[in-house]
Amino acid sequence: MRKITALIIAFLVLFISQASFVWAQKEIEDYFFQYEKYRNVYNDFVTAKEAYLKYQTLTSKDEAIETTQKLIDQRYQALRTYFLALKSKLRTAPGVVGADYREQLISQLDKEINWLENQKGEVNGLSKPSLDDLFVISDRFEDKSEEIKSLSYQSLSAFLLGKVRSLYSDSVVITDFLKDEVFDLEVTQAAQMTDWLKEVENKNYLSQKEIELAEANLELLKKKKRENQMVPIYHDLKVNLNNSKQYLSQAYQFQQEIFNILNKIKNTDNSVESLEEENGSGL
Amino acid sequence: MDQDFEAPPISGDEPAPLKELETEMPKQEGVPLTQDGLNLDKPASVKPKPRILIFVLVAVIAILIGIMIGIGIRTKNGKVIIPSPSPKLVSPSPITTPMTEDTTLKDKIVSFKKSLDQVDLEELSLNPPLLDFNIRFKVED
Repeated sequence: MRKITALIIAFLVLFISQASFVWAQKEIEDYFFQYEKYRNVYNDFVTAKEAYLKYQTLTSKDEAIETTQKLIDQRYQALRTYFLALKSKLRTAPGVVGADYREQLISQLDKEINWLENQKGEVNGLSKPSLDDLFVISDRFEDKSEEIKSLSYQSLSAFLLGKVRSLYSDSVVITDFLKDEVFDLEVTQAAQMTDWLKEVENKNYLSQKEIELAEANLELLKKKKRENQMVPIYHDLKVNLNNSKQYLSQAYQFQQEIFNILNKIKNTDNSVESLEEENGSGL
Repeated sequence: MDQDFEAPPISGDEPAPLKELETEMPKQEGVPLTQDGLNLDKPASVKPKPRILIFVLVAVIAILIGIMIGIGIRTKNGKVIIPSPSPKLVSPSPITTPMTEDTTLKDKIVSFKKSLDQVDLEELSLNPPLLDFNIRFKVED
């Protein structure tokens, strides 16, 4: 009986862990689908609007009202699925920001998702609306545009920053492992390896500095209200993170070299070739 | 050994009428027990408890759903796609590589390299959607 219970628990854990990954993928695919649909509906709206402005017939007016209503509905839907995708990214990606900030962002995303759902319900609940009725509802969305963009850029930045932070942590752990290995060597052999390890630590340090710059940019981004102010900061943040990743790639090269030399010294089964083969790249 | 047996008929003699064998146990009141105290007529394994059956059923369903979702069967354009396992999940077999401290470090380095390759800082697909926030228009009379 205990075995069966343990088996069920093990499979439930496996199920939940796998399900969260697949769920995140599903939400991203759903967003792509809804965004594509929005673009199609938008084209229909533009066509109907131009026809109405040109001919001003009753038919073209009805067509314009219908496509405007569809557009507003689909705009809510596209943004809603985008926020859901961001939310699942924030939840599933490793090392994403501080727990408090992550929860804060998720809470804000939830709030916006609820608001979008309410607005969507209101638009769909209108029977035979006029264009003015629809524009009044649309204006509410426009009023929130900067808030929506700010939340989008912040969530995206936090997610990317978390990814690089996670890489940096991995590099530090490997460096510590290598330090322990070098510590066990004879004094003459250890001297060279220690110098090489300092090079790795230097790359880790430079990577960390770039992460700190990215964090500073994220703080700056939080204060900006307008999109034209947010975009350049977001761009700078991505440059910082790219630099940080570059330093970590260099750290990896050095770590690989040290690891191979250590194996040569210890003459173990873990040959240089075996590591190269697994990585698919040479030194 | 004390029982009396009838002598078999000698060849050419009239065969003695066969005695009807009693194949069924006479109905007894109460449950017959062996010396060990076990009920041989009603073995415990024949009727499992329904609770266990429910547990086994739930476990099987959980396994099937877990496998289905785990391998990520997704339907796209009417075709079932089974993606190849994520490189992050593929690690060297513990059978072919001895589990020494070096192997652990080697795994970490290999895994780190894979993570470096996988991280896409562009994430262009997740850039904020380009939505038209102002759709108002005026009809000129």
